[in-house]
Amino acid sequence: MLTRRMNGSACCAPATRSVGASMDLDRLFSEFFSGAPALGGLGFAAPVAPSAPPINAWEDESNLYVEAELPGYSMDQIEATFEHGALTLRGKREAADEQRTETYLRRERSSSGFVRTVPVEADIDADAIEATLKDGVLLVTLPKSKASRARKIQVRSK
Amino acid sequence: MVQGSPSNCCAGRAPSADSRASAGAPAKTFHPLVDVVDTGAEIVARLDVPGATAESIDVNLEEGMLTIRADVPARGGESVAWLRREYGVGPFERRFRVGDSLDPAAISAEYADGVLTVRLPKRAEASARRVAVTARN
Repeated sequence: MLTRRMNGSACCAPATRSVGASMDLDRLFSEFFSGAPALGGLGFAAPVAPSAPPINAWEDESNLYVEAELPGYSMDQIEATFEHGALTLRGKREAADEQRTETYLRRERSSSGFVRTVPVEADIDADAIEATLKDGVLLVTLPKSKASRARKIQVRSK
Repeated sequence: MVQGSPSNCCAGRAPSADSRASAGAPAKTFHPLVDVVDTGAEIVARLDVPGATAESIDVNLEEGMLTIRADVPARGGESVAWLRREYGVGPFERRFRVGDSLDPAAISAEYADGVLTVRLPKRAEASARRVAVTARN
């Protein structure tokens, strides 16, 4: 059997399934690999969630947007701070799940917290930053300060 | 402008074999990360499907094959000025074989905070039962 990793920290050497685990898992519930050769449960590296979540960022005329996928987090487990020209996202998760009497057959999802800092090279109106969390997607909206917005400059003839 | 060193990892949303073959093309399908636990009475699978809604998720069991698919709409709009793009957004799909010892009629699924939880109860005869030991003098 694959044993549970007791500490959620830095989990993530690629999980290999022993032959025994493979048989156990296959009997109940196992991944279907279409077209893949049978590996006999050996040497299979599961994808693993990173400790720092990837982000997407984009901008329009008035805002910068920073987005991260944080499934399983509630808003009170996420902290977003903006200081010294950088946005920091922090996730804290309690270890409540760890106390249950569950045997992990497969573990790919991140169980520990995360921290990610993104430098922002634009003048931001820090008081107007907003963050929303919906269906596991965090979106931080950083309004550009009026001075830094691109403006169309009227060209007048003399 | 957001800057920083690019992440060299794509996990959190692992591209499936299909999407790797057609990297760069639209409509990639992603492989959701999953935890599978055995609680004794049931097998519970938790899948990260951020950006989906309960209505957009399709859980289908057919001939012992559980297929989980979630459509995820694009975010950020069509023609935005990207500053950084470390992950792609698109539909999720992953398939599992379900053994005979699980009860197909009793499977349930629930979606909250970007996580889909699928519960597959074991058939009565398959779940471990405690056998009482009586003393005889």
